[in-house]
Amino acid sequence: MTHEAHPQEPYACRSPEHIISRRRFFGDIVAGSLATGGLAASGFTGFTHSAVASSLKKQAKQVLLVFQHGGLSQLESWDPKPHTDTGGPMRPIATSVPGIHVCELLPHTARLMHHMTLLRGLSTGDNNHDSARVTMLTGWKQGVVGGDNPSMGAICTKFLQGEQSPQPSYVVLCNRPQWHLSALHDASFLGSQYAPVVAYDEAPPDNLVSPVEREARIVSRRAALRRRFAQRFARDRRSARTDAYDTAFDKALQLMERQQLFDLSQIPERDHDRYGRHAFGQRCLVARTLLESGCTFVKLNHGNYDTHFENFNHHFERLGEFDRPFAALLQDIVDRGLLETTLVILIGEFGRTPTINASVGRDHWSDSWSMAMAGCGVKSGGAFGKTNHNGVEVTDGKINSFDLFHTFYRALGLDAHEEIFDGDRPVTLADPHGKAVEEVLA
Amino acid sequence: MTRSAEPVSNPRGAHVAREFKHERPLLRCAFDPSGTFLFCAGEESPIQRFHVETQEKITLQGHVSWVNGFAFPGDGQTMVSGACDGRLAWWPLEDKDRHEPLEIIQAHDGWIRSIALSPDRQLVASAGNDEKVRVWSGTERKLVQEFPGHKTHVYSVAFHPTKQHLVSADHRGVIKQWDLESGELVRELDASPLYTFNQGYRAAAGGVRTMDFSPDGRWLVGCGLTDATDTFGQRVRPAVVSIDWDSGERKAVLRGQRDEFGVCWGVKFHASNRFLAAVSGGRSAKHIYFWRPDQVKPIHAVVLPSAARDLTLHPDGRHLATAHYDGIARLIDLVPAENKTS
Repeated sequence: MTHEAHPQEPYACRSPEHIISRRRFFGDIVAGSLATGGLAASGFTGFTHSAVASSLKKQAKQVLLVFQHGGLSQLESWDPKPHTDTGGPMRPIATSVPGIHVCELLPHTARLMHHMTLLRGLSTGDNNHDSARVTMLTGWKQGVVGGDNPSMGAICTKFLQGEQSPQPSYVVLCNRPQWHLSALHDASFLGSQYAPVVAYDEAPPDNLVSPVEREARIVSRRAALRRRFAQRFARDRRSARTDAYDTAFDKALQLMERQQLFDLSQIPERDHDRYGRHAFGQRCLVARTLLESGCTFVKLNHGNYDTHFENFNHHFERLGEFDRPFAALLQDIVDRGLLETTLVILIGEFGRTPTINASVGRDHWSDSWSMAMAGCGVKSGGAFGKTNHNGVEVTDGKINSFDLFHTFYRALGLDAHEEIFDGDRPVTLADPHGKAVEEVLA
Repeated sequence: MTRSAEPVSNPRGAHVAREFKHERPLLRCAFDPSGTFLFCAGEESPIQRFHVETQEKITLQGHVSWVNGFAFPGDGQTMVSGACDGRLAWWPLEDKDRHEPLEIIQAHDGWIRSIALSPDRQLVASAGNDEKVRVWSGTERKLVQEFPGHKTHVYSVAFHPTKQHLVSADHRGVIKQWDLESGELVRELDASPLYTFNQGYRAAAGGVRTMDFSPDGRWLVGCGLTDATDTFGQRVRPAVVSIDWDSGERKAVLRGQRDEFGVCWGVKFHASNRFLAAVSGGRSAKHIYFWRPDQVKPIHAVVLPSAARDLTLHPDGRHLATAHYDGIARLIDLVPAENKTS
């Protein structure tokens, strides 16, 4: 018989020592937690407000978040300012939307602009990589590590994945030094079941393949046996930690069963050619497979755009690598009919200074920068917000970081004001000081 | 350009003699063959022409992006510029009434990063982001030859002073030597210390920014950056690579000062063959260095008021000019003050 715990009294013995604090929890993890299949294998479940429960599990919505870390230059991407003192040597090109121009470094993406919306009035007020990164991934201003609030990826995984959604539901595809929030901090108090599976470069997640080859039948029997032991143990000793262990085991097993999602050899050669055989192109191919498979949230990292030195040469290289595979991925999302239910977000920590420094570089700049969106819940083929002639200030449609997350959540059918609980502390999905940008919502 | 060696020139006497002021940061500079004018390109599409004596400034409009190089073909009455718009533009050297190009040719698909003039002044070579090297008739303004073969952006190009050879260098520090008569690749030379690929960031940085031959043809030098521990954080050092032309061997990597972070954007051999000059700019770099090509220790180094992006030698052999981030082109006198008074 399975014990049903009350939401506010989840564990059978009602013993306070089983309701571990978040601080102790993370401390314990650092001290030596179980690592299973790239998952954060410990943690405890954040309690869900009963009012929120009814709005959970919005079916079939997915998110592709492309995080251009380091800070993509808005002038070399979405908001070119040719022939000005800040404009640089790049030239603007026409897009598939009459009147909207982007930088010449994005010729493939420019042809898909009719699917996209540009936000050119971002003013987010944080020029620090670490704190801005946390803000732009969680929707909250907080410390430089993250962990105070769950990431948008964790929230979307919790609220958007269906009861029977296949694993993995939240995947981060990045290259090793470009990890944003540690897996331990990403889901924060929501718990490890909402933490991402992380895959580096072209490789599948760590430990995806069993070190010893066993028949599926044996693996299945072992798992069933472990589950029975766990259930028996939980009758009297259930705790957040045992729940987390169970979740981690289940997710790891499901992930191992679906390891083909990360198998690039299954993808036709012509697609490898279309996307490019470099690491980012290959990550885009994995992202496509994951979205096709129903993965709720895919975060795809690309960088480094932190071009204090020789901004233009670095943007040639970075966007030269980015443009074609991203456009191929977006086109494939469109062709597969996924764009209606998939919100595509391209964002970074901040933009770059309009002023060009002595090293022909651009520095950190959050006063007036740009991002792009596409798909689920947002209009397409437009640009919202304006900057002045040389891009140093927003003149129309100013948006802060809080507004962005209210907009993202609205586009996905979620209410950013709804509460989740960190212990007894209610926390809204996004900072309540923001409001959705109605003009870009469909 | 005619180079008349000036025995009294001495790097140790280098000092700023004159300033040519502009309102935008400067990137490139070049004297015309007579030394009458100093042409400057900045972070803008117009070209600035300064009269060296009167300092009068004329603005030349024709490109639609930043200008990356100058050459003066034929009888020296025409200037050719190459720019990030992929165009070569021919201009009258001195025409008070005409500040527009005589002709513009779409020479490359993408940026032109460098142009060079053949020793007989008949040919102009151009190189750019389309990985191509092209040679043009400087007077007839027609394409003469094309040298494909680079695998990445071509950053610089130079003619050998005495032989029918052209060299082109790219982002990865590969220098290709081309035979102008046969059109064949002769050999590749190694300037790889000027290139770094950061595995962590999966990002490349470097490239041979400028090349020059010693007037006697014995040395080839190329400049850029080296020891790139963090290119995004500008932890790179200015450097010049010197190559013995006959053997093709790299002889030295000439580095800027240990505490200086930046890049050498310009290098030139002095007409006397005795030394080369290179300028540095960047995070903390703002020097002009004087080296012998086979000695890593500089003969002399002068701190400049602002990051320097290019330099050009005056045909009198006694002066050079530097282009700076602060919008000023500086005329550097290489004759020590005591020599002038004696």
